[in-house]
Amino acid sequence: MRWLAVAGVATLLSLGVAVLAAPNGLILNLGGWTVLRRFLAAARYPALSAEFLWITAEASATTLGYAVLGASLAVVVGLVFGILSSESWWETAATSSAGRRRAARWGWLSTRLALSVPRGLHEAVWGLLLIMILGLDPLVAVLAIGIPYGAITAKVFSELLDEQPRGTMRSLRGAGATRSAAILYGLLPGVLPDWTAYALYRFECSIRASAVLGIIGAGGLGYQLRLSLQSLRYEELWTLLAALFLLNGATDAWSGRVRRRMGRGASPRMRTPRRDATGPETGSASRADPTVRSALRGTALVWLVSAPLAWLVIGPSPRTLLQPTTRVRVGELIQAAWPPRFDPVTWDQAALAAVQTLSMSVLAIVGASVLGLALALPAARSRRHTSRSYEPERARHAFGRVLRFGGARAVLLAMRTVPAPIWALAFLFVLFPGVVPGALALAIYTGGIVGRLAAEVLETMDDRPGEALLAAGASNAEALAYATMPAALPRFTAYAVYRWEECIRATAIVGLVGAGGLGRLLEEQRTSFDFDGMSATIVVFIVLTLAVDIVSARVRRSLR
Amino acid sequence: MTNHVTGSDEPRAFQRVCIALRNPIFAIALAAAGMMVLGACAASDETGSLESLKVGAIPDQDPERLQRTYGLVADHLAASLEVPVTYVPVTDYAAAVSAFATGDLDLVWFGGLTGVQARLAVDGARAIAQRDIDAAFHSVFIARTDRGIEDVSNPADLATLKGNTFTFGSESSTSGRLMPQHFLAEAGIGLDDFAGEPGFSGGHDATIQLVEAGSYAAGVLNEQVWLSRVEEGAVDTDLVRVIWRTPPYADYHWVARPDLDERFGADFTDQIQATLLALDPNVPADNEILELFGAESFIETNNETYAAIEAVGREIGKIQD
Repeated sequence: MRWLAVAGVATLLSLGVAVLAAPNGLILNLGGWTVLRRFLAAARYPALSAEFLWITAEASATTLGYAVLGASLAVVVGLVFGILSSESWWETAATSSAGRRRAARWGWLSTRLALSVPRGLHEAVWGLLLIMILGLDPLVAVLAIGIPYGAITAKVFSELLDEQPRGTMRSLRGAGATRSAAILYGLLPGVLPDWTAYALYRFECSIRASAVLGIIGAGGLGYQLRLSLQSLRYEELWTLLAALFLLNGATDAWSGRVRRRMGRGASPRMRTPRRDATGPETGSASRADPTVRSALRGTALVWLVSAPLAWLVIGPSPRTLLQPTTRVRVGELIQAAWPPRFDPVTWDQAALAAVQTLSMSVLAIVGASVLGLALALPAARSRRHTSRSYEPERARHAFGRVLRFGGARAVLLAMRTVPAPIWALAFLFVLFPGVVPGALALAIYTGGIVGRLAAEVLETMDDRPGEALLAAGASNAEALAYATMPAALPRFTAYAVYRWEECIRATAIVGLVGAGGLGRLLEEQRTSFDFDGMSATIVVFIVLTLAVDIVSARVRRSLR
Repeated sequence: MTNHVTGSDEPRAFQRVCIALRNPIFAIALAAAGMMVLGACAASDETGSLESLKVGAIPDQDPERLQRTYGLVADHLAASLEVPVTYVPVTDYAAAVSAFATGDLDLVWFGGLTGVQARLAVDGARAIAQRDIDAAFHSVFIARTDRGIEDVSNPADLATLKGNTFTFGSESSTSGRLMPQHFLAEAGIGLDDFAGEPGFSGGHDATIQLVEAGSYAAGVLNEQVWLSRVEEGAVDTDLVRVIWRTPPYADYHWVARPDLDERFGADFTDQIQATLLALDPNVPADNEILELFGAESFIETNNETYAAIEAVGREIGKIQD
């Protein structure tokens, strides 16, 4: 409750910033209403010519290909650095003396810190930086997804690894096994289902990242979206959005099904910590379980087929990385960007933009939580009604319930399908550039993600208190208010706070298309080839992201 | 797992392979190795192909029109230079400059500002040709007819725009942002004198459409695009009209990378220049290209022509050090 009050105050402050940051206090631009109407009306006539459908199919393959390769790279990076940054790994290093234990502590901390920097920048910002070095190479998109996602995956993998009981590993180590053998045979078998579930979740995110990277020029559906929007061909826009909807929907449905079979929720962060192993939702299913085993095998098989295919479609050439010209470019760029320029003018600009970015992220996550929770209730597969014995008068409501369920799911999917910059561009029709269009765009996009995960929380929760209330004669609404919500809210809040970290990173991309904050500043500096200004903005951005990370981790710990 | 192994009569080595293959970690490692091999093959294939001249352009107009224009340019250059020529589209102005700097683009149709930025990024890059209209290019300020914005006869009258909504084109556009902002500043109008923040539409066509639709009361764009759209009947001139034409400045031009002669043969850059200058409005095929560029011909130019643009670029902050 204390945190709700804090969130309320933060929201009010952010609203204040949003209004003050708007020049002359103007936010609404009603003049654009006709364009918005034209855009919405075009939904009735999507472009369906054979030629354009072919372009759409090709673009979908490209977007999917980037996502597969990007996620694969992220998992490889996550595997290596996840183990290297886990407490377990450093524990195996320190067996005897206190000095070595301290060394291990430092080793753990420094790898953790090193990983936080690539995480601080959004995929699209990585993409823009990599374009400057590698030019128009498909490798840009793969690396732009793989680097930040690899760092995030490494963090989560190491956390999951450290949750494992270490008994087997310690006895292996005691019996003389090497460090890697002890980890490989003592820890990995147990953590594999969790890791796979998380890798699948990262793959879902990669599809969305791949679309955003298209917008900044990597090709695929995002690129076509941008072209259609630039030439104001809205009927094409709707065809492309439909393709993106199908792609996202299919991926989410597949990955969700596999994860359910493995008994894993949408994100490891949604699970209750392992120490209260009494709830039905905790990951009791292990690798020995045949369902889990077949799910693991199936995932491996799908990946085995799709990764080489994606490689063929995208055709990246890793040799580019080793070419001398690349090294020269990196050298030149570092020379131009270092040291970051922190003169008074840049400070003023960056500080103002940082405040705008912060308030944009707060408004976005609050809006996303409200939207997400509201839609999660109808979108959750309720077990309450199926677990009860069949009652004829309930059957009449069944159809409406299915409709509500499907509708809410589709709305959530649409919200997260449309890339945040495209939402922002749509809002910029009727709003002046600034904090508000960016916050709205991110609220809707993030709401789609939060809502889906909140629905999964509701589905996997212990339902018995609600059942008990219903049996005692309470109405559905009463059961919701007094049993379901009190149990779900802390976990949901914890997730929302975690998602706030993602939100502040994503402010960069709505900024690129003209919403306010550090992203807008970065775009102005990028188009001016003002490299030391850019590096200053990036430093401010990373510091801000780290600060949000720390605050969010604190809040989440206090919610447990 | 164990009963599987002991309960079978197959040879042991085969069982081991089967078990290993079922282990996802092993399978992943195997697949990674396979991908590396595949990637290596794909990469080695590329070296065999003939080197081609990569032509690009800043995306200042409707992307479909760009595709048509530069497709024709690429074909024409390929025919007269006898080397393969490909058009590589890019999505934003700065990306065109970056791609030129990394060598992904060899010959690019830049705006005044982006051309200067590109030549600052690549030592020895050469401005080789511009259109007849580019030596004295103009921007036009346009406004919705129903917003009470008056015609501007001298720059001081630009004050009529104060308190109205306003949109530029792309952030890096010379005619859609740099020079207009310069002329506005000379007339004493800052970016905070408009209602709300000024927009950046991204391109000249987008500016026309946004002002015509009323999203913004006024905007500014490249005169050639404006005239060409008016001629095509793509603009409703009852809704949008020109309120001011800026003084002349030098704009668009072709810039070539310094290593072309080395890669394609002596005097290759001069040959490109000659091919462009030889485009003749009396030859139908040539005229089609020239019309898409909105010009009668291409003329010679050099880096010095853009010294004034560079000065304004530094003044507005779009060129650093």
